[in-house]
Amino acid sequence: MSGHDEIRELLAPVALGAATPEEEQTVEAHVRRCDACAGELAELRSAVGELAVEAPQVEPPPELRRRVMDAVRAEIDSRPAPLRPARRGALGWLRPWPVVAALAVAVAALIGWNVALQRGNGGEGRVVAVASPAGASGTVRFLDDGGAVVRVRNLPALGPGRAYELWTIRGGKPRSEGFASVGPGGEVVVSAADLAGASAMAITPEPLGNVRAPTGAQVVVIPL
Amino acid sequence: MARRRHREELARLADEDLLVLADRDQAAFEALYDRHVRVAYSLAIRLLGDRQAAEDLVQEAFLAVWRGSTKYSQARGSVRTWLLSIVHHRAIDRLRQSSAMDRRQEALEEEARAQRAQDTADTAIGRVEAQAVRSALAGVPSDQLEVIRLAYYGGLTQQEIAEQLSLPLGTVKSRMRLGLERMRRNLGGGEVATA
Repeated sequence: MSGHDEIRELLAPVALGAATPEEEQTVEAHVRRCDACAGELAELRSAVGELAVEAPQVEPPPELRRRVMDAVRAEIDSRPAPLRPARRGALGWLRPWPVVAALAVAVAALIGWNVALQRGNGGEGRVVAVASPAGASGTVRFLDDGGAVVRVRNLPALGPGRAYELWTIRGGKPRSEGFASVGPGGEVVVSAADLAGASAMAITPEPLGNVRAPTGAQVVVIPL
Repeated sequence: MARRRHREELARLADEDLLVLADRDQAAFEALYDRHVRVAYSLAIRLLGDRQAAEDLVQEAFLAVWRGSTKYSQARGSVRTWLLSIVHHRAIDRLRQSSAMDRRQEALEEEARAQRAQDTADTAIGRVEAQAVRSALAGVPSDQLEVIRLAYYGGLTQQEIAEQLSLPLGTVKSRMRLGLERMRRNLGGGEVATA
């Protein structure tokens, strides 16, 4: 009972939850090996999901939100210490970032980013293009209000629990400007609100929640 | 202020990005919750016919999404589809476990009366969405729709549907497949298949 056509017959009942547990297991095992069926099942599930909109829409009570968030918080608190998000002031140190302090070394140590291939003035603010021999490319748009938006494509995907983080560097000290996950085409978009006093921006892959200091390899460094 | 800026940034992210962040960033999870809680809760009520049970189920489903956020794969469909399928799957499990299938029937009938009152509480967005789905369903022959609804809302297996409608099992299977494929095409998911 694992012929391709027989499996295809089962996709609709599995998507609708009308298959027997055995049929469901057969299909789940098959779609792990067959991209075509996996894609079809995902589309059927998506159509089935839209049936939910057919149900009369009822506003959920606000207490439900509190309950769910409390439950999430309780699970975070019960995690082993190393997995907890860093708490402000827990250690009270801010490691200098030697590689960025010596920016020339940092750039040489990178995966080969060449900065400022071209400069232009399209739209709001100044735009600087960046590209790397590895095939990643993107733009930095310096906004009139002192901030900047960095957009890079073809960055490698990251594992679960990790995202690209933008840092601004002032006097050799990094400041987290926020995280962005990798979108389609390996695209990452991050922004810094204020570049005043900053000597460089850098993007590193980091565990989510790390805002103290970079730990990952710098895949983008933009001297200012 | 930084917090507000953070929330504004989150509001621009796709569900899939929010889910990646959700494990470490509770605000990302809250944004995801706010986007989808209404449809998940409404589905749970429609299936279980009981507000308290629906609340418990929705809490369970969101926690399952949060716990599974690091294992999520886009091959399983969108985050919304995933969440709704968890709600649906678990609600159906509960219905099947309870021997009192007729109690559910009663609940559904009672809820159908309540629905008419709730319809007036639908927001404009809800109505537009519901209308899109209804028009997608309108293109599906009624005998196929009947089979789909019995499976989705009634939690019946193909065999049970065949018995209930006194139809050969093969007929139920083909109606379910043809109806669902038509729905997929009507909802705009068919281009991939024909490309």
